[in-house]
Amino acid sequence: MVIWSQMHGLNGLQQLQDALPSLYNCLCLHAKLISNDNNYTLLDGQSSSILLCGSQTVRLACALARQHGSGQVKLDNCHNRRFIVQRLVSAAQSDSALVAYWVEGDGAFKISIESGAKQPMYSEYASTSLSADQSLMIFVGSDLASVEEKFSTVIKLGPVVETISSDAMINSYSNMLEQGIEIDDNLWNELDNLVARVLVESTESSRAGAGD
Amino acid sequence: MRPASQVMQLNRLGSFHQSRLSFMRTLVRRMVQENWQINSTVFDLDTEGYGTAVYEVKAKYGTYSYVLFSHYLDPENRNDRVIADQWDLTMALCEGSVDAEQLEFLRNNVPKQEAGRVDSRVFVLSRGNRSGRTFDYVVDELAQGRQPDVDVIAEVGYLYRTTAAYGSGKLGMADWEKVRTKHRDFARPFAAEMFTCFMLRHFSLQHADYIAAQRAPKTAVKLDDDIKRYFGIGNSTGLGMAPFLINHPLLINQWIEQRETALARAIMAGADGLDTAILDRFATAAARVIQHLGEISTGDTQQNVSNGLVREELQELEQWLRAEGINIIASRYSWAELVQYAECNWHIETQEVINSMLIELYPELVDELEEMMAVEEDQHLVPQMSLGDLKALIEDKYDWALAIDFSRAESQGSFWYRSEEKMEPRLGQTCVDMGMEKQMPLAIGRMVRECYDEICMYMAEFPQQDVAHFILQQPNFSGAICRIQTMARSQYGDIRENLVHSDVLPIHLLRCKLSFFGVSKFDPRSRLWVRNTMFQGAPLISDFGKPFFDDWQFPIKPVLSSTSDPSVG
Repeated sequence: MVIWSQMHGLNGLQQLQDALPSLYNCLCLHAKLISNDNNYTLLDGQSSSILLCGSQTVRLACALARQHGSGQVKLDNCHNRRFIVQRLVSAAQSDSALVAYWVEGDGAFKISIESGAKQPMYSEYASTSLSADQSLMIFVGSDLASVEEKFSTVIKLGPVVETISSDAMINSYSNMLEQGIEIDDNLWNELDNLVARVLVESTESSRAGAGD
Repeated sequence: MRPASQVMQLNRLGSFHQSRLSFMRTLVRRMVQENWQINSTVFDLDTEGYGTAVYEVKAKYGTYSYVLFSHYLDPENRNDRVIADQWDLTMALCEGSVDAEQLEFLRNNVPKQEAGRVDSRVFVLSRGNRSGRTFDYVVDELAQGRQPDVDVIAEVGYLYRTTAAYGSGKLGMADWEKVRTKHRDFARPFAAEMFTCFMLRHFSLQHADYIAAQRAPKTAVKLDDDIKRYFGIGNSTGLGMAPFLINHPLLINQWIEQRETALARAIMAGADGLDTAILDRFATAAARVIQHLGEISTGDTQQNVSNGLVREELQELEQWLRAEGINIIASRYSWAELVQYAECNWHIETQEVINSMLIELYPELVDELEEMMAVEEDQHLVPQMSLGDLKALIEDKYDWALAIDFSRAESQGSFWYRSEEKMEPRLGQTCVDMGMEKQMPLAIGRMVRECYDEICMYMAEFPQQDVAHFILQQPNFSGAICRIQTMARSQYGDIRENLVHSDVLPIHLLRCKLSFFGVSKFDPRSRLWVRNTMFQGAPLISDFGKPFFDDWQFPIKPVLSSTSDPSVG
């Protein structure tokens, strides 16, 4: 999710760096089901990161759409919502069209992707209302036009502040693929420290476990 | 094609041999047929052979640079393990030409290997160590004006051995996606890594010639070309390769499916009977494998016994082919019958050698499959699948996993983990070694069993529910379900073995992958690592563009021409 965002020009690494302090102390909780009503489900993210509960949320929305023609999931109380883009793209490969929406500060963010597409449309709008519930809404259907129609009945968007087109994402991806990704030394060291959590202390006897 | 229940048994995978579809074979075919031009643009070595070499590679679709640094290494520090931090040679394969600035950058980073950083102009980073048994011997012989004894070379088979070849985005290198989409010359799995090893072989031969000439300019001779071809490059492979096979099931499925397709085509080609020419070729191939196995030197008792048994059974086969050829043809005997006979009567390794030999007979039916070895590796979860369907899917496709009794202590007697020492993969003993709580998720069978049990419990309460709701409750199983649903659509991806059993033999995993690379002469050093030989018998760069018979599989000692003057290089 992080690398996808970075490769497609959405500053994934910077977002990760910003998120790391809270991720260090995260309880690794996943989303909890609050209510389930036909094609609408409410989840509680339990103050967790979208890195942990994003997959569940998108998959649930897709399952609802398959069963009812369209699906809508609201995930409350979750963080790092910008990382959701890769999960939407992945779901779009399985014949789903998706729209995600959340409010962050004074901006409202909307991601739309057509069924089967590789890149989404990423837009930021001026928020029409302040929101402090850290929620993320996912709308799913079989084609983007119907999903957008459903979305527009629920959400009223303010003026557009910024859009990142599919072409811009493709260009960013191509450049990153060609040039590689530069990772800040501090972030690299922090990631190294995180990885160290799954490494096992080396001892004389453990070396035998590699063939000595 | 053979069923997965037969093919995906660990001991069978560990009996595979190279075939026409192995990556070294396909790379060599491509290089020779397309007449790649490879020349050294820098050969800046001192009299001891230490310094820098750069080769410019002009392939069909692009130009590349192979950059190599030769360093003094105290023999005390020569270590083939991942944990080593010094090597005799270090090298990089780069796109385009390398200028002075980039060469300096590489000089500062390539010798450090994992501790250095390169950039996306680099495809592969690798290193090699000298063979203590052959390098000095060969140089001494050449310096004294003699060709080395082929029997001595046969004991080892190489001058240098590589201990790792990193690619695909590691350490700052180009991502596989870039290699695949931008550089068609290397757009097959591990083609760039295999080429790096091929170039190491080329350098090793030049290196021996060079040092001998520096040491004794008046008496030194160059290695005879036939002897050169008989040199491969050594390889040491340990547990690092094992997680790859488990973590890339779609790719493994693709490789094995192509190999099985090739075998099925070969068997079908003989369905209506065989002719004299094909029987002769097959008997000749058997004789070659018999000699090849007889020339392998390994201290591993089990491998020696296996090699001896395979030789005996192939001798039986060869004698039968030679003696009964007319009757075989007259009775319209088919390859399918031979394969069935082998399965019923001969050692599993003999069966797989015969399969490789059959594939070898039909290049016109097989070689096109070499373009099918790559695959998109995306796994997709189907959230709307009912749990009833998922349960049935597991019972159908993962019956082998459900048949394992994980309540027995030995069924969970091992665990895989990464050491803090250069992240080296290691195999620990349960309740003996530390780190079980940090084990790598390689026990696919156990993971499926646990997932299945949880599904059954959940279904007792919610019998109509779907996967999406189950993973809300049990998020830790989303990866398992994603794999199960994905792999259910393919045939060969999952290895049907409990990989955490006390007696698991990881060496089978290594051999399986190495067979797809195309190595020969397996020399197990324990159940955890194996030495082998790459490119032994392959053409030299000077052979490119010349008539090529692609018959270097199962390399055997060269018979030197009696008219050749060993003093002439």
